[in-house]
Amino acid sequence: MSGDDPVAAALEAASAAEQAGRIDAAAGILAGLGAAIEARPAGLHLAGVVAARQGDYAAAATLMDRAARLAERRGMDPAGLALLHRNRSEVHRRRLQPRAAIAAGRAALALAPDDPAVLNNLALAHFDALEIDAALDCYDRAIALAPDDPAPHFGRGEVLLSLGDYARGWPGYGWRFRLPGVPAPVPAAVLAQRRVRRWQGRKLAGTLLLVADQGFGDVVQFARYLPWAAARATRLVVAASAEMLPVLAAFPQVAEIVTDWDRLGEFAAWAVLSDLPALAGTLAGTIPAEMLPYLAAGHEDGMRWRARLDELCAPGLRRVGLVWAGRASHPFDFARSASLAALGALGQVAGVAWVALQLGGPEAQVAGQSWRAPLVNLGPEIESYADTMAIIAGLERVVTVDTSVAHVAGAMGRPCWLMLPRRADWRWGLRGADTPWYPALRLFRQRRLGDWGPVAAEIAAALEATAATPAAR
Amino acid sequence: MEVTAGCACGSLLRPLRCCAMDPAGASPPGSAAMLAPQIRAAEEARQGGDDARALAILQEVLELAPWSPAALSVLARLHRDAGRLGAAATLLARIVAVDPANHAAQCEAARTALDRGDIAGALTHARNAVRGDPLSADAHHLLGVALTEANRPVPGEHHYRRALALAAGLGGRPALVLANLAWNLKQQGRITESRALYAEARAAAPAVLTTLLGEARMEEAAGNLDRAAAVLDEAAALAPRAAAVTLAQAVVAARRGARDQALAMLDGMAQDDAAAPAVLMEKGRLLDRMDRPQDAFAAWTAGKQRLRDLTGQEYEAAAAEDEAARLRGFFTPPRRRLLPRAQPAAGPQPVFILGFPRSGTTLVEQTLSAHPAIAAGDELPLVGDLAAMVPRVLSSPLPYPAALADLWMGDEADGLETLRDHYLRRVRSMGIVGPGQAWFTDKMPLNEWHMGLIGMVFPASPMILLVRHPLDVVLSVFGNELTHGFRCAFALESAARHFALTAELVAHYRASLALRLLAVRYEDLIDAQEPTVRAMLAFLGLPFDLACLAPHANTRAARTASYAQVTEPLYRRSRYRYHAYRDLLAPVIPILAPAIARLGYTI
Repeated sequence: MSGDDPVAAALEAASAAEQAGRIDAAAGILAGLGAAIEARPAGLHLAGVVAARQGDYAAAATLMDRAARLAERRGMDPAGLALLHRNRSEVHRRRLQPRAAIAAGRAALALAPDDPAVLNNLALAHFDALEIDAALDCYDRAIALAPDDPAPHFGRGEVLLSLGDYARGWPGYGWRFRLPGVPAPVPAAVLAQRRVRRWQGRKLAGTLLLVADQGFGDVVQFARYLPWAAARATRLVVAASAEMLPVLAAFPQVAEIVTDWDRLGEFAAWAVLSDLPALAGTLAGTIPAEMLPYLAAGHEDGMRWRARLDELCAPGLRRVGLVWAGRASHPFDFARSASLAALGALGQVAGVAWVALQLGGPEAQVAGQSWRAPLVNLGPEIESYADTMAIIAGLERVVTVDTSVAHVAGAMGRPCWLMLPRRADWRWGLRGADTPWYPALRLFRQRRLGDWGPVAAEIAAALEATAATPAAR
Repeated sequence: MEVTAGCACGSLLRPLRCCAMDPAGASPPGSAAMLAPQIRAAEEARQGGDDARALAILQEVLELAPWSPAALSVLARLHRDAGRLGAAATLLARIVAVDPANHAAQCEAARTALDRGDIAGALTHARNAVRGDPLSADAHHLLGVALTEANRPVPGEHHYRRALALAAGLGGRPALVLANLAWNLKQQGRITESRALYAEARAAAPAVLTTLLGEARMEEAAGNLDRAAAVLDEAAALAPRAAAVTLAQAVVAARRGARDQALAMLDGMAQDDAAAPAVLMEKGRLLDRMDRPQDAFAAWTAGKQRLRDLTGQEYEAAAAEDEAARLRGFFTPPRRRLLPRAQPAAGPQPVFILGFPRSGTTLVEQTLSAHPAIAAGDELPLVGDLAAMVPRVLSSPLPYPAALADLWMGDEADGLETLRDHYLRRVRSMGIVGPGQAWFTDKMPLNEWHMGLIGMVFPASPMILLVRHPLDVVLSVFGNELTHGFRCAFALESAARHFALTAELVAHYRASLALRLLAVRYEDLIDAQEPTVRAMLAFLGLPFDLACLAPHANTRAARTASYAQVTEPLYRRSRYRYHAYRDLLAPVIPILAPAIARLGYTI
């Protein structure tokens, strides 16, 4: 008990608040302790956890590293120390420091060699460092220790998909809906009212419900399978967010699009859109691209946006779209999103007007930008993907990080240069400048995790090189 | 009688017989006729130099007849002669409120407002004077002065010429009007015509100090420093101890590089003269150029303090924050998407050069207007006019910017075209665009407060936003005499606060609206001139022109505080000038820190 130790009592209170999700309260208690936490590894560790929960991974790493050094001198219970190193591994990973993450993960593993969570974290760090064999080894050991834990199965699946080993990757990828915090693709209440089964890709005499799950980019990417699925069912219904209506409207095979579960009619079986590649047995060599382009801008939208771009950009300038950040809630956003400031080399390219298609909070970054090339912030006027498509149709090309805009441009067959973190999402593979998913895309990869400067410089040089042939990829 | 507690306006009347009076209690005109002898006696005492007796009589009279225009007029003159301009303005405003047709009072009110630096008030009274008597040369002259001071030299010229025509019918061209018209033409960059008018003014009245000072400044602005010095020698002979002459001589000496001599001139002035705000500010600038930042800062601090003491004016923080909040609240993406944009009109189009005062807008205008396709419009007061016109044009009961919501009404949908046409018509009347020129610049400082409106009225017009290290901007504002921006330049802290407020508003616009905007760093213009100039011209869709690399050789005469700087080749001393003042600027660093970080600068 901590009855005689007010600092320990306060740390317990702060820990309880943190675990209850009351992060500000926890931070307040810790701030009240002042320098008293400096002498306690557990206090520094907890302060680091709170900083991480507040999104400040740099502060979290500093605090946890200090906790670890203090623990070395003063000692700490092995379980607590293993947890500290495991958390250090994750915050260093989120700071895009995979070497430090691996070192911390190994320290945790030395203390808790049979902890699947430690192995899973270490596998992630190895994967970020592109140490594939080490990552797979950690995942395999974690699966052996906890065969029902979805995290290592899913992580292993992503590694295999990244390697292009789709046959072995899809089963692991299928574990994603069992991960903690991932909502069921179809609400239990919807399924409870009906006698339906999950579709396995065979001929179906009845209505097939496809759920357009995951991010908007996934929907765009896997929408190419809609004709394949429609051919295997009597009727195809898609449940999707309203934002996806302009994309799904491009597929006449879809009989109905539902944006509200309460309006969903009867169906015989269901599947998620992101499972269609697996159900279709897609391999790296059989990615369907023959239907490209499968998205196109509406004629009137195109005319309207072309006129708007004519207002906002001088006639002699090349119009190039730009997106530098994705949705912040994406689990890999810390690596896939850049900042406008980090892409400064793009602003030095003469003869270009950058057309920002950026939405959301990162839009505000334009307020501090003073590039030599003009940057038109079109985001405030974009209301739908129909707008996005119409704007892209009027651009020479798009330069973007890994967001839905890359998928839209790719699905439209418009030239698009995709900026990828050193360890990219599985669909872009681990190396190479091309992707079979979208022949119109050209991939520019980081050489060092988190380092966007050289990527921007490479794109700037490529843009200048294409000045004479603006239609070239 | 004895006045124990004077009115706050400084009239030396009891409040209940002054600002606390109920206007409804005003007596009918002529009701105080029986007091005429006393008022005459007061006027005779005033003219005889016995102000105390004049005041005593007037206090008695105004106790009995507080609305008597004759008594108020004499008292206003008494205050004006004693330098109590605020009290004089209050009393004159009371006369014309009761009797707008009182021509003499309107003219006197305009004159008093001009002396106070109250340009808006001067315009109101001078316009009323012209309305009341369109054949009054005095009224046209006053309106000419007010318009010129309000940066509207072209309509100002019209009224000066009207005053001259009316005066000619009475037997001559008054030297004062000639000299003021000469100054007006200098403001328009028409140096040759200005010079001829100064010559005519001097011929009509050879020994008028203000004429000589104006002519010297014209020659200085035109770069004829020898001629300016010669004119000032004449002025010095006429008024050997005049502070204005010494100050002007010091300015010319400084521009010739004789800074020690200039400083000695200022230090040698009589104590009272040396404490004048203009002298202290000039001294600060000299000391700055002499790399004596502590002394320069002290001189500027004293100058601004004197300015506040003399004018009683300071930063209108509440009004500024209220306007910024209303603009931020109105121009949001959802509303903006629903509001229309004007269709482009034929003919030359504006290029808006935006930026806080002292951020490099004059340099950019000189750079761009060296291009054959671009005319220099200078500081056009028209965007502010458009904002003020919005409620009237759209028949809206709401103030700007909320009045723009009336664009949703079917019968007001063409309101933006009306605003656009008003702006372009005014520009045409100014005659600033030459043949073959497709663009003209408008570099009115703080037009960035209206970026939302500009984007609606001129959606295809380029905006070039000057960005400079905030500490350099605020330091420079502090070291100069400016009236822009709710009088923020009256103190260092208020300059910083207004900069921060403006920067926040601009950031809101840039993040919330799709604008044709190029942000240009002042530091880039200095360090990487050619690529920056090329980028600006490409942004306008114009081919590069070598002349744009020599803004100092641009022969047009810029009239703002920066004119002396842009007539020199590009120099680096103003870049990161704040380094020398860093400790002195410490109090404003917390105010500016968010803007410094957002704009990518460091300290």
